[in-house]
Amino acid sequence: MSDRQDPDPRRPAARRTALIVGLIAVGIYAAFFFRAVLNA
Amino acid sequence: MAEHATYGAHDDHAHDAHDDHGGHQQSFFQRWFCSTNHKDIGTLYLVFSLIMFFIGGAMALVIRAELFVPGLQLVHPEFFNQMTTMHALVMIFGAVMPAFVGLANWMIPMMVGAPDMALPRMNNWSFWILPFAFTLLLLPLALYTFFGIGGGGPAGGWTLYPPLSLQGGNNVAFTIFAIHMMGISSIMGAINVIATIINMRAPGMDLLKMPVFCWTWLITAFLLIAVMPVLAGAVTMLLTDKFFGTSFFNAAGGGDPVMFQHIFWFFGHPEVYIMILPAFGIISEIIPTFARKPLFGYQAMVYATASIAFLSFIVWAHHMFTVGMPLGAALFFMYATMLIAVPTGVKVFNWVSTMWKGSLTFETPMLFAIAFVILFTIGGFSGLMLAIVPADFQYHDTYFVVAHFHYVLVTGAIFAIMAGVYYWLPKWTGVMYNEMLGKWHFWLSTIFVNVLFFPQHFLGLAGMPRRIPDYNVAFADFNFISSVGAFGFGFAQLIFVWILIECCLLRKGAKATSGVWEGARGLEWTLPSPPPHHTFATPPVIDDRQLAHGDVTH
Repeated sequence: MSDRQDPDPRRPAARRTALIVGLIAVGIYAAFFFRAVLNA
Repeated sequence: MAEHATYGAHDDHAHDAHDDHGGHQQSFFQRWFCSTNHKDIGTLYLVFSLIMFFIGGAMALVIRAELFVPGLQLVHPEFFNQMTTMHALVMIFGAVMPAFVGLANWMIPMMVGAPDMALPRMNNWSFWILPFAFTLLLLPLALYTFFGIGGGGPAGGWTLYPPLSLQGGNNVAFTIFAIHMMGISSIMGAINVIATIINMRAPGMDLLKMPVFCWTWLITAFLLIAVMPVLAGAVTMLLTDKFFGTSFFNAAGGGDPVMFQHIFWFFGHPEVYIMILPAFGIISEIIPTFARKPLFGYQAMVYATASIAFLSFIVWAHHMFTVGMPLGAALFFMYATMLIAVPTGVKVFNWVSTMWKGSLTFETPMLFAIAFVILFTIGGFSGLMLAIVPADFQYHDTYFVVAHFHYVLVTGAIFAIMAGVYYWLPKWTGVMYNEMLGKWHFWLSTIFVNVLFFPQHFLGLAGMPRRIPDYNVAFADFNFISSVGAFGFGFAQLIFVWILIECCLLRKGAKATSGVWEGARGLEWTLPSPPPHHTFATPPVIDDRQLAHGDVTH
């Protein structure tokens, strides 16, 4: 089932959660890597 | 036969075929390559995992064949090192983790009453990254092995410690890019699990009414989000050290190779729990079903899982005691590691208490679950021994460590995956598996896995180092026994494959009811077996009595 046809009202909130969690993951990678680069 | 007694406590719904797509016809390509359906993607993950299990298993058999008797006889030592390295990478990232993601895909939406995973297209992407990642990972080894091209795969151990790991050729780049892709896949899978559980639960499916499998996966997903970027950072630095002239881990350039070990194990220890927490969830589903009792201490199980996840972040240096660290640090990591035994003990006692005075039956999933409780606990105890700093100085890098983590990962994680597959296979396929063959698979696996790994404790205590292709003749007898166990265990898995072929392809076996097992409780068991292609398109009305944990007071 494509989510484009999906009227499920829970999906927008799910997308927001996914975005926040994804940004946390990218943030950990970035913070970690840039700190290492700055320390080097 | 015991299995007949367990059929159909619930009404058997009309058998909606799983291939019924609600009038929407899909070609083979559309269904399996472009799928956004959680059940199909779950199947893809599980098939991929099974293939990797056999590739990794073949590598293990090369290792055990070489170690059958002392001396170098079958493979070159360099190739042996490639086998130990690749066996671990394939089994961890290719077999165990995708198997749990496959089970999560299949079961979590059905358990929480969601129509699918929260982000179905990203779900497809998460899976389809994996075949490309493993093609990259296996390519240098395959080219060398089958065509004599290049220098072979990585041989510095799955931990990729520099400077050794950087002494490989271009396989370093292949391995690092493959690990990046696996990491992206895992992070996207974890995001999907979190968004599904947080946002897509049916009304009335409160967090503390969810099946324990959903809870353990939710916590595992947060672990993945926290540590996969750390691994990605570490291997990115390895890449730039190797190919772009940086010196993050190069002492000659002012870097610190020990720093890599700290970073790696900050990922690596939570990774161990990523591979065992979903296993705890599966066992917590199976034991109540076959004991015909609610899980003892549901909330304690949830909090114990969260405690284990928290502690997993503050114990990483127990992998590095012999590297050297301040005494205070060694003491901290020792005691923090021992502390993990407390919530783990809570879980083991809760499983035992669930079985206590239950109406137990011993179908194959329950047999694997009971074996899990006993054998995983052996792995836990040897872990406690390794946590003791002065003892670890003796055990470190010996076969005792190999025995320890194989008890945790084979009789722990893989036995739980087997248990889960037998438990849910009738639900997925609509037919009962062959119980007699299932029991043969269980008993042969359990006997041979102990023949394989238990003697390795003695080898380690006697001082045999790990990752060596040859050894002192003093270690000959136990190595011989261990190798016999390895081949026995390996061939026993062919029974599993045949059972899967019978159920999934030949559809041979008794028809499964919607409830499948007499004691099964939960939303997923209210659906027909096999469930229709799309389930819970409208959220179900939840009756607490149908849920395994509908009564919040227990």
